[in-house]
Amino acid sequence: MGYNAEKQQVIAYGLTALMQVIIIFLILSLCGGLTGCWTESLVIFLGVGVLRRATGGAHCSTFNKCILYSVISVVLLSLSAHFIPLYLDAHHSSIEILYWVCCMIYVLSGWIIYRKAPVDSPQRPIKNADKIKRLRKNCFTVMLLYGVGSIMLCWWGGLSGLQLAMSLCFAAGWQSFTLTNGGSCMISWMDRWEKR
Amino acid sequence: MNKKKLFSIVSLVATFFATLVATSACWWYLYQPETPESLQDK
Repeated sequence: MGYNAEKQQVIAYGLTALMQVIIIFLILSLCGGLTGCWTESLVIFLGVGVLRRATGGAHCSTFNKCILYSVISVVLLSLSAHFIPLYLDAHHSSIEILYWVCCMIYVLSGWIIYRKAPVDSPQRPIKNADKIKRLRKNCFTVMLLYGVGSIMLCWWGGLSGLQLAMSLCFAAGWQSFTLTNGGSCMISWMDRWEKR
Repeated sequence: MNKKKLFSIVSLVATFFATLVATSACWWYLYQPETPESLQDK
């Protein structure tokens, strides 16, 4: 194609990003279909991804580990979001507690994002002050949309709406966790685990 | 569609995504490759 080395690097970079999204989406669709949590998986996949674009967060060292741990985390969260409300409803327990749990997760996530975001990495340093300001503004806009979306889902959606609202809440919670020192340590530990 | 056209489209899409990543804090999930110099914050 006659592209120089820099252009080739840009194309490779873009293709890596695109392949990462496609592969994770396909694997999550398969896992979601098998577990009966496809909708929750999709909501968490999109929820984490959109928020992560503004907040940054901890990373794995390789493409394959990223896919593995992303899929594991989303599957576990989607199973929780799907089955916890069903379990409580089946046992005639109070579902209202889940509303409070979601509120707490949102408040905690908002506080973490306020304190930490955006979190950069050595491969993707963020130095420009205007960019940092823009990303922080995006973080809070996205969190506000998630919060309003969750409220609307709970209000009008019944049990299914609650499951999706919890998915959105867990997405925000998980992503904000990856901004913390604890989240970063956990991902580093998982990253090194394979090498043992 | 010939090969050159296909590669051009792939290059265009890849460049678009690369620019999209460059304007954000992180791409989508837990992997972040080295950013090309032309896309880094200056």
